Amino acid sequence: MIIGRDKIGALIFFIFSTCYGYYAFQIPLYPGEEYEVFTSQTMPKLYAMLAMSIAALALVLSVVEDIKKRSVVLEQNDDQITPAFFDKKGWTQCAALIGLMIYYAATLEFLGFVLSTISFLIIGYLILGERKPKTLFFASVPVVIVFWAIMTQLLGIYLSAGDIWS
Amino acid sequence: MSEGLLLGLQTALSMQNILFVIFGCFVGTFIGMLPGLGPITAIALMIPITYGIDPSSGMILMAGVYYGAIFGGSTSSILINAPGVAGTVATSFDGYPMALQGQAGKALALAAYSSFCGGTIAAIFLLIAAPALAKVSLSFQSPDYFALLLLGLTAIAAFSSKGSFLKSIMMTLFGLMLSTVGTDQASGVERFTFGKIDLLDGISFLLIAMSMFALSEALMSIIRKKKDDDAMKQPTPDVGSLKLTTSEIKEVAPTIARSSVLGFFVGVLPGAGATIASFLAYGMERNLASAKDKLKFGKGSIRGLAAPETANNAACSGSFVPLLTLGIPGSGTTAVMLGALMAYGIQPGPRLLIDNPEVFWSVIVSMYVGNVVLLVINLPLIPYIARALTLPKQLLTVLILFFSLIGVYLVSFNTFDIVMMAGFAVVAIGLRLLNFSMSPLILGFILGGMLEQNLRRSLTLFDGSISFMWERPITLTILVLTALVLLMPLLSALKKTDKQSPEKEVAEL
Repeated sequence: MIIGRDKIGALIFFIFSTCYGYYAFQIPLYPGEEYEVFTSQTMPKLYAMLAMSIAALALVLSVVEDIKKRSVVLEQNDDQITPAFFDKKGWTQCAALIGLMIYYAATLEFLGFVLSTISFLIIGYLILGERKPKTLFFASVPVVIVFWAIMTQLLGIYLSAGDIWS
Repeated sequence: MSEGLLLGLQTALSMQNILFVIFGCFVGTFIGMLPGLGPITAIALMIPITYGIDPSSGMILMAGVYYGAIFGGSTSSILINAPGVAGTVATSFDGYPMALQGQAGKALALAAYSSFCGGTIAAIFLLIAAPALAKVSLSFQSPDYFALLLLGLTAIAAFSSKGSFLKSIMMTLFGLMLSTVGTDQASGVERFTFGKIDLLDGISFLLIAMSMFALSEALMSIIRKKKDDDAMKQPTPDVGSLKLTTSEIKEVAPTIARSSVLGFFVGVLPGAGATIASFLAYGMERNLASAKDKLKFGKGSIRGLAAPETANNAACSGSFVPLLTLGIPGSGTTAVMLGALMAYGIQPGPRLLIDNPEVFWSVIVSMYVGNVVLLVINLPLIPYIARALTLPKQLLTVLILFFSLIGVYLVSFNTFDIVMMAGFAVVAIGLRLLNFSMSPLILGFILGGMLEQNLRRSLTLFDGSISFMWERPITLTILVLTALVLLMPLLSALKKTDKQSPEKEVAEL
């Protein structure tokens, strides 16, 4: 069987809606509420049932289409996820940037806005291949200082000074 | 209406708001020009800024960004054949060949004039249609709203691209599911919070909009880097003269008139929007052209450029009609604007005209002001703004990530939101790779709460009976329409699977 994007998508969505549906039944109700027409569980249960049905339909339709295609041609489908689809460098950079966001969340209040943001920007530029020290400096430090000044001095918005310094 | 119009003029033409429109158009043009980034991202990035200003100014700024982003998308379509937004794909069919022939300036000027005319005609229609529709919709009750919300949710899926109907429905449902996270407003019961205090208030709309659009689009540009980089590395053609001859203006005038009307009405339909309008206008113009003119299409026809440009701008104005009068967004972009309005504490819909007339009228007037700004300020600046295409992508991507993250953080001051954004960005990348569209998700997320509230109210009004669905003629009509909208693409999808014979497949291959 060809594992196409449509099938993977429908399958993941089916699993997700099943889990969602399971938790929808766990939503607590007040005593006697179970006799009411509309409760906190109503919409989640409805969404879960609809989502499971639609995902199952999408899965069945793509399998039926696949069987018909396979009966005449065994060539690669456009829909397939091929190795060429994965650009290793791009994916590594993307994963590193997602990790960088978690780092930013972890350091924002600890190191303070200025330090953590400067480090976030510099590491981000480095991840994406920028190596010139001048560019790294001018695209991070002045940007952060100006942003900090606008927020705190002009608009009066508090930005964390950093727990490490207090 | 004249009083309202005066109020709108007074608000939109204040010095502060004119500056907001100029700023919005400029920023929108800049972001829209970058391949992969569209008006939704541009507006999402502006939302944190608009929280600090009054709602009218915020909406004016966002309307300016919307127009600017569409115009920016046209610029990159014409100059480097890399449409920033789907609505400007049709622009590149004839715009880019014109640029290759050394007429980039003329193509850009024509795009700006067409957008201006399309926007102006549509703004006049909006001026007439919106207040009239708002008055009619004042008689709407909860059951009618419930039916209308269902129509809005299904229509965006029905107008989705060929073969992605079921995927759009899945995304709408995913958005609806996400909207149930948090404390239930009516009963106070926690739903899907898994004991996390940070989830008690639910997931913020801004967080979803930023991570699903701005963050994921920026990260996707790294994954598909090669393709985008190739487009951006192309030498930007010389812009040259921006002048149009009288005969050229005469040639495109009827095209602009036709495409404006078409674009506006397509824009009014929930879910249709600028992309469909631009393709329909292009197709219509090609069908109306003489056999000799038909050959020019795709090779630099000025009619082929004017039609989609006029229609996409007219559709932008049209999509504000359901948003302002019924509170139902017609597109992903207006869905983001609806979320922003609700964050200001303003409920769009028929009451908007009564409760917040300054917002209602200033948005309508700012549409026109936005068009003037684009023509007077942006067009002469295009050769300079086009230099944005040569800015190092690695710097822009990281800056977009920073502004998205800090934009959400500045509203909640909760670092857990940043972690959630990273998580949602990963989900969004996965969904994009599996060819799922994000617009139905955001629409489902925003309308989910309203849908639940209105269904609850309707059931209370009718003693727990679902008879409201057929007892009120308006509700019944809208529900029948919804069923038709929902069933037609579903049946055609089933029919296609059923009828597609193996022989035909081989022939297609």
